[in-house]
Formats: sequence, C-alpha cells, structure tokens
Amino acid sequence: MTVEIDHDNFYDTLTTLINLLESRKIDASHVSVSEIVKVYADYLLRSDKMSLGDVAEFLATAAALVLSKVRALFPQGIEEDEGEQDAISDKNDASTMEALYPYKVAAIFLEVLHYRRSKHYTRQTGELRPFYEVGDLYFLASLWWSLIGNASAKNQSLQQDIIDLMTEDNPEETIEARMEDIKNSLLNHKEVTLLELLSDKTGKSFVVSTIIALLELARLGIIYLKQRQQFGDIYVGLKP
Amino acid sequence: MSDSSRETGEIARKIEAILFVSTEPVKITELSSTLSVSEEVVEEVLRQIKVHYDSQHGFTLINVAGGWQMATASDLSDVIESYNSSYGYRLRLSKAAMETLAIIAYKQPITRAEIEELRGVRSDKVLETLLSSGLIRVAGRKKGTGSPLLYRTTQEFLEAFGLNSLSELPTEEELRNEGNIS
Repeated sequence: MTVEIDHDNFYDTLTTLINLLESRKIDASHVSVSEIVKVYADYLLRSDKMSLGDVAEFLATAAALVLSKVRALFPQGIEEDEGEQDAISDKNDASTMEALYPYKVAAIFLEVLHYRRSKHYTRQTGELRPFYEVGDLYFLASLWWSLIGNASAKNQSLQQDIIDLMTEDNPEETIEARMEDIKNSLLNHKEVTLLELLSDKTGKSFVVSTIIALLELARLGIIYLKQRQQFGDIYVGLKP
Repeated sequence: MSDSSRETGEIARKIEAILFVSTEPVKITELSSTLSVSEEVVEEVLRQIKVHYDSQHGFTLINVAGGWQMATASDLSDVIESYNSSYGYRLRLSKAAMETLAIIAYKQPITRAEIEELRGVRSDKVLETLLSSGLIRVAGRKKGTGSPLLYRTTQEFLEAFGLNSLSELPTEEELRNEGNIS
C-alpha cells in the first residue's frame, strides 16, 4: 500500500498514517519512525512560521505512532491477557450479566457452528492466515520450532556447499595449497593486493579458498591485511 | 439421454471444474455470468451436484459466505486428520474472544467502548486478537467525540463458522429464550 505524503499538509498525512495503523491496513513494525521525524524536520525547516501547538500536536501523534510500533514489535504480555480473560466473570454485576446473556448464548452457538464447520476440509491456498490467540505460547513455540527447522535445513545445505568447495579434487583450490601459493607470491613481491591475488582465476571456489587462506594466514600471524582507504583494495604482505 | 439433460450435465461438469480449482466459496452470480446461464439453473445444478456427492463421494458442497465450495464429507474428518494433522480450519479463540465476536456479529458496526460497556471489562486485547485473525475488521469511525473506530465481522468470519450470511444467526430474542448457561 502506498500513502501519498502531502508535504504542505504534514499533520493530516500523519493522522492518515495513524488511522491506517489503527485499522491494521499497514503493519506498524514496517513504519520507519526515524524517516517520519526526518520528513518532519525538513517540513519545519521549509516552514516560514512554527507554532508551538503544531509541534505539540506532532509530538502527541508521533508518540501514538511509536506506541503502535512498540506494540507491533514486542510480544504481548501473556499475564495481562490471562487476567483479561479471568476478569469476565469476576467484575460483572447482575445487570451486565443480563445484558450479556444473549451474547454468551451466541458465543456457544458460534462454537457449535465452528465445530460443525471444522469437520469439512476445503482446498487451502497455502497463505491462510493462522488463527491464534495473542499470547498463545503453544502456537508461538510451534511457529518458532518450524522456523528453526527451516533455517537449519537451509544452513545444512549451505554448509554442504562449503564442504564441497573444501573437498574439491583440484589441489590448487584447497585451502592449504592456496596458503602456500599466497606465501610464495609474497616472497616474490613484497606486497600484493587482493585483486591481484584473485586476478589469476575466477570462480566461486577460487575466491572462497583465497579469502579463507588469507584469513588463516593472518590468524597465524604470517601476513598482514591492510585497507588504506575506505572501499579501497586490500593489501597483503608478509609480517616482518 | 435428452438434449436438456445433456445440457444440464455439461453445466454441472463446468461448475464442478470451477469449484474444484477455487480456494474460496464461489458465488452463484459468478458461476452464472461465467457460464452464461441463469442463476436459477446454476442453483438447481448445484443442488443436484450436492445430492450426488453426498450419496456417492468423499466430498460434498457447502454453502458458506454467500457462495459454494467443495469440501470433504464431515464424517471423514478423522481420515483427513490422520492423513495430515496440519489440515483444518480450527480457531484457537478464548471464551472472551468468542463472546466479543458474538457481540460484534449482532451489534455491528460497534465501537470498542460499546463492547466494553456490554461486557463490563476492557476488550482491547481481545479486539486485537480478532483483528489479527481476520474475523473482524475496522469499518470506519463513529461520528462524535473522539471518532472511535467501528468494528464489523468479515467474510472470513462467515467462512470460519460455516454461515452463508449473518441472517442465519438466531435472533437476539431467540437467544434470550435459550436455557441457562453455566
């Protein structure tokens, strides 16, 4: 969803944003508060006059925005949730109970309807919204473990790729061989750059084995690695 | 076989094909315009298909959220669950959430304050749960002090409870005349 920002009417735009958050049309966790503050600062700089009331209104609205974002980013308080559920029967007086009675019956009716409906299975889209109670630890734990399962499955394949690289038959591309090559290059030339070391060959395994060999040589104290300017080339030389 | 029954059979095949690929209930109006046949014919064919499925097949047609959808037969739910327990459409709602949902279903559009007035307790977290599950949605703001948000039930609510429309719910009078609840 895109929201057009009217720079001349900043407050209405911010209020629109808050309304979108409250109505769950956008996810608060995706809103960059720092970006909004930056836009507001630009707006203030461009404004000819600044009213204290406007600034106060901005601070109040920005506070509401920050609160929405904090709520979206942090897990809900489980204890408070349980308290809210328990409070139903404790706090209600007779008149409330009487007014609430039809809806309690309706809630039971809905449960029966849902039970009947749950006996029918329909084709799934694969993107069905999960139904869970806020603070449902069982669901969150299940979700967490499935995410870990997916992540570890991916890592295993990544690790396997690295193992494949390390165990290639070509001896020139093993780490030890590459370490020897680099040391020999440095004996001939006082200092070489990373680009020069990689210029001989291209290919994923060669780049990976070169970098690992450099790191290992640096760890062993045989070479130094220096970058003399930001984003510049890396210089490699033998330590005295 | 007469021309008429052959034609009906052909319409039934087409309807089956559409329902088979759809993941959502398909409205009679959609079927009617897609197949260029009257809504009455579509409705009649749907009923014939349902009778046929119910008598001979492991699936059926359900009439939910204003449309028709293919679904497995209710007596086979155990088979599906033992085949794959992740299938299903189960809500995990607390008693408080179900009660709030019932209030919204009957009193919509309704504000949070009005819900809290009825329930006698704060309901912000319950509303948060219902909004997250997609069973309710914000349906504008009420005119007046503070312009509070108004809440309504959604299409997903109808689907989750197997309702074709809200009019299928019992009236408030009927609910009041029900027996005591513990």
